[in-house]
Amino acid sequence: MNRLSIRAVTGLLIVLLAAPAAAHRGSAPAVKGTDPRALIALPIPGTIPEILEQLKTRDAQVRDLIRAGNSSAVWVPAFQAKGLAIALEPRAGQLAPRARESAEPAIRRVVRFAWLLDAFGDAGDRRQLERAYAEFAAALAEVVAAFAGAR
Amino acid sequence: MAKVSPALAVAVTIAMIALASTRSDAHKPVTSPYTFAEDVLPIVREKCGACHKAGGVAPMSLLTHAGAVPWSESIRAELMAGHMPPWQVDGPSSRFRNVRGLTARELDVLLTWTKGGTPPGRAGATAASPADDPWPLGAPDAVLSMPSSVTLPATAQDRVEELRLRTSFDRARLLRAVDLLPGTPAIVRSATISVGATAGSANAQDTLALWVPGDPPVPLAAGAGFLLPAGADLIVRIRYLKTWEYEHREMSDRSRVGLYFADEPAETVRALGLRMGTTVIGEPVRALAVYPDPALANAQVRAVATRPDGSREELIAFRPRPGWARRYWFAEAVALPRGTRIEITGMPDAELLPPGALPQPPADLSKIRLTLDVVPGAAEPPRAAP
Repeated sequence: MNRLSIRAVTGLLIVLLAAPAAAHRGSAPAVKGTDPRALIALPIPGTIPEILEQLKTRDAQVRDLIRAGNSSAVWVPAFQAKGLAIALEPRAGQLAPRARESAEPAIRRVVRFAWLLDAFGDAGDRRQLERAYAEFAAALAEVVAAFAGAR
Repeated sequence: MAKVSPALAVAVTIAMIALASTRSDAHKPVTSPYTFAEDVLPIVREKCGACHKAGGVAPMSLLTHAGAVPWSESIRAELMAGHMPPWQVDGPSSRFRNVRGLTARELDVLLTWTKGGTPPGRAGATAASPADDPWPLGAPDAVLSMPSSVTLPATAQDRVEELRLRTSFDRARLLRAVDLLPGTPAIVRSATISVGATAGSANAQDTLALWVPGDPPVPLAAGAGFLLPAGADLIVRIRYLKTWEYEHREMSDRSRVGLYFADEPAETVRALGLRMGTTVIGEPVRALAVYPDPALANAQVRAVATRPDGSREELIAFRPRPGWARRYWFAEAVALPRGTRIEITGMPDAELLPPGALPQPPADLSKIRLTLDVVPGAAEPPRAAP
């Protein structure tokens, strides 16, 4: 019969116990954990036209993922679009008053509906995903229209 | 060398793996780069702290990490549903003087924190409650107290009380503001203060104030005032509501109403009622504020003015919520020449609710009634009060 040394078993146990403890220590300050949501930070382009192009790309990605039934991945481009839209918020001040009046609430809606896309994607609720996407896309279009021509 | 059997080693290992997994799952992974102390607290203190404080009217304080964390799922659901904070204007906040919504970034910070493990940040960070300024506009010119306390017995959770307060002014007065100071803020959920009918008064039931917690009073600009006829009573309709903290406890309140007189002479503010459909303005006016029927809730409502010269202006687009009827004060008075058509449209608010958000009852579209506070039209709109 094979026999294992106590030292080997003890070593294995120490490794098993140490891993989660270390992970927990690491999480005490607000560090990025293993959740992939922390890994999707998108470099924000330097100019407004580039940001708008990126927004259109993310919009298309969200739409395509929903159409493909890949609801659990929708949050990735949705959150990237959210980050891009938030980067535009401080720049709304340079818009003409009417464009600004349209841009600010539209950016807030992009953020809110990105989070709803995440929630409905997690739940795999396609009907709600489609409703949220319609609002998300409309808000993105408003943002793009408001900033069109801005540099 | 001591030996153990492979079977024992495997059993112990499996047990430890299970134990290790349990430990790991017991902690939400911290993915939020935002912490309560550094990022969340400054936002909630400014935007939520008037109600969400110890002893406030909201059911929980958000001003400490320990207080906020148990509610993180609810916070996220209410934010995603758009129910909180309760400033339901769809358009830009800058259009109004008293609308204080979250910015997109603030909304994202709060949602990221609630979803991302609610990290505390600097230990022990708390915020003092926002300054409890009993009368944000300063000492009123006159204070009227409720004749006696209202008591909610232990068995009552929610009650509306209508009280009549006598005034003793020997002449009609114009008011630039009316405010309510709750005696027991934890249970005073909303109030409507209006002018009671008097003999010969054409202004019976004019609404002087729609009070909701956390919404500081806005004074009329110089040159305008709400008419309080001589001998008129004030009708104060207060909704009391106990949160879970006060369930099964007897609670009493004796609120006070503060009146601020306008400098005279001043134009009298008139109420211009609007219903669904189109209303044509018969004489030139300037609109100072707009408010809904307090019973209107859970509808999407939009009011658009089209002037005789063809120019169009959205007066308001909003989603009134139950219990949050308030006046929306225009940042600048809106000129509405004679012949201006105001179109009110409305539909049930088809909410898109995240898991965990409370669905609202369906809207009663017959309640889609708005009131504009107007003064006679003039070449120059009144200046906004500082």
